[in-house]
Amino acid sequence: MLKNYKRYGQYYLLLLPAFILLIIFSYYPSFSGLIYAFTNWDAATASWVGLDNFKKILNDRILKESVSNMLILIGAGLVIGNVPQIFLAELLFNLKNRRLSERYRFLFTLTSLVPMVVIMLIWTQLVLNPSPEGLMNSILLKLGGDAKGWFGDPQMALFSMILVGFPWVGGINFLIYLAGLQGIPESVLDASKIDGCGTMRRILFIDFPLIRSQLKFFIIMGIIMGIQGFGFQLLITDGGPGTSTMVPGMWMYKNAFKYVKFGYASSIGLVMFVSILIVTLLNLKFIKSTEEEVG
Amino acid sequence: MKKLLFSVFFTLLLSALVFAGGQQEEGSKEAVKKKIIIDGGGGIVQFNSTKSMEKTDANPYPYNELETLCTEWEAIHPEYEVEILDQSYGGGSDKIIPLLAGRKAPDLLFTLTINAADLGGKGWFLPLDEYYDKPNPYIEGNKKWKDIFVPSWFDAMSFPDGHIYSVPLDHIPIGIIYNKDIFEKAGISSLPESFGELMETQKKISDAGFIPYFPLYVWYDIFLEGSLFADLLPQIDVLRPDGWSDAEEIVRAYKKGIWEVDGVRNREYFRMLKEKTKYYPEGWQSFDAFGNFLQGKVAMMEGVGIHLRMTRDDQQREFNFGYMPYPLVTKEDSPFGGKGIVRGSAGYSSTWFLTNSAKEKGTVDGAIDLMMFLTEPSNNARLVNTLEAMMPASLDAEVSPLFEPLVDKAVEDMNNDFCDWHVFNSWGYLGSEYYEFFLQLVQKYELSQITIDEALAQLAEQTEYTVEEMIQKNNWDTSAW
Repeated sequence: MLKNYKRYGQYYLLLLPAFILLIIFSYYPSFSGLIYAFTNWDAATASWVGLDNFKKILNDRILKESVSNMLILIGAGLVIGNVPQIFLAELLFNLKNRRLSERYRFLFTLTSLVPMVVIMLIWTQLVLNPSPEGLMNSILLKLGGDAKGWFGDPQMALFSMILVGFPWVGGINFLIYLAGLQGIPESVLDASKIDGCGTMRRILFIDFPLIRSQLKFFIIMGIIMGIQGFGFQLLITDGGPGTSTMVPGMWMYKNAFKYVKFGYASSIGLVMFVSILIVTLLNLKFIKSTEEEVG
Repeated sequence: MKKLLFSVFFTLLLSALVFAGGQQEEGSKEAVKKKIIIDGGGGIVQFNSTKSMEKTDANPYPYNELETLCTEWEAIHPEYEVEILDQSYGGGSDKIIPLLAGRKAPDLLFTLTINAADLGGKGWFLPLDEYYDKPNPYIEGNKKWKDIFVPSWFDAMSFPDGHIYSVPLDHIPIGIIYNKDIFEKAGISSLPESFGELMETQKKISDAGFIPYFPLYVWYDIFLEGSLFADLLPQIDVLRPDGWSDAEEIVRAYKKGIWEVDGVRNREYFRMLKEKTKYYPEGWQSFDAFGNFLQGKVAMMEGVGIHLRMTRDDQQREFNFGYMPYPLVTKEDSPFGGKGIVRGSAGYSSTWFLTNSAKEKGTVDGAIDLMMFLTEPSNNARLVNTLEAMMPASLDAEVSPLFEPLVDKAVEDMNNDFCDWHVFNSWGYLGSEYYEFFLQLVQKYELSQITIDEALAQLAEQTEYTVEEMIQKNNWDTSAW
């Protein structure tokens, strides 16, 4: 051990600043949050309140509504974050013309350079603008339909959020799925051809099992981001109209920084952390990656 | 090579530390003057200087009046130096809580009183009551600084603990801006003066194919609540009789059954809130009201001073506009109506708080003196009127000609013994959680997501919780009620 330290001591020392910064900015706030979840911390003073915050969580109507909104958004997010991407990756993977394939790949990746905030604003201010002049409403009116309230209509606000970014193709997910497909050994694909395997059968029985690692990664990340995320609400909807787009992250944020109830916000954060942990463990247990399946 | 990298890294680290230490020491040698840092924010517009004083399309309202006034004050008080932030923190609690908790806030910090009430009792803001009882040296013959403010608006700045922590700089011109051309096309010859007439006017405009009315905020909701509850004031305003219901008085009224959340009066309030939205367009919650108004598609829009200024100055505008006060709620409109509320102004807006940073730095007296200087009527008028968005807080300060009709209306209403704007606003004074809960609930009800019974049941539950929390948090002596 000592010998190792003498040999590698300088490397440990070089790692030290990063580790200290991690402790200060990542571990300390998280662990202090665990403790504050059992207090009524108001950013100035904190008293121990035991399980009171968690009892309040059980009766918190807005939190319950926000969990239901979150589940809808996670479900939709998993579908639109993966299905169109896999579909597109398969199309490009099967494109025989290599030069054309590269150009398409470039074009589809280009969309990810547009900042998310800009996309949000384009969709809220132009595409789903509730006035008759809004792009989508203009189309609906031309087709003989009625103009919709979109983000201003509590029945449609969540659906409008899901619509943002339609047709949801391109970006990093697509690239990673494409890379996964391109990583399938040529020998496997050749063998499938010799065995007379058609495109659909190959996609179902060769491609899908061999990109399972990527799929697993995106499912886990999709769930984690879905539980934690509230960027759209913070920037655009504020959780409304009413509480129709409220999610637990936003509710936690509001409790902390608007109502100065950091203790209660910490307890919501703790519940979110435990939920993420459980869902991730379940994912790890039940969805096998390609390597685990083979190994 | 590895040893060389290692040595370079630590030499750099050491140099950085030594350099940082040296900088601090050098800075402290120069720190002869006490520095007062001002956030510069405001309720509707900011007082921070614009980057340039050249008027252009991109910089239509160049401004540096606060900076100029501070320079004048520095000349009187050479022991102080004033720094105004380039950009205000905007008063949002998410921005200012970390600053206050870390004692790094500007000495004078802007936030709205409604946001700040939750931040009281933590030692972050300094009570100013004793300073308000002293004369303002910049005003000849002034006995108490607080005498230069409207008494009921001044009292409405008090926190639930009864102390005043902020200094007002301006108050909000408010009313309804209307499109005269649409009124003409709809055959409307007189302006609505009551809630019922407002609804009739909306119908006529809607029938003419225009969007009749649009709010930008919940101003008229506050006005409506005050109108319907004003006659209860003698029963509610008893702990500190001053013409408005403060947080403790509202909680007491609830506990004593004077203010009944699921009672007939509150039910009437909810009914009228929804009726007001009858002609609103689809998706009005995310509607760009002001943009559509300027394009001539909306007939009436609730607006504050800045909207009046922007409507006047809009180069693309192709219609004539006018300005009217809020229609009153009469006995014909509601059995609880008939009590007038002062129109024209919604009370103080830009309130600056003296923070714990000033106490720590020893700049409290200087900061107070600077605020006295800024609220001296002629200085206050310079500070506020240049922006043409607000009206000065000091009673004797001149008002921008743009807002004079509003001031006249407010004075006329006051002379008619109308109640103050803050007479009763249950959801405005019981903390930001209750405030947001109420607004969310009303949205759900107005958009028919829930019925009035569900809305009032949920509100009753939240009120019970909030009231108990307020009593506990503020240590109110309920036996004295």
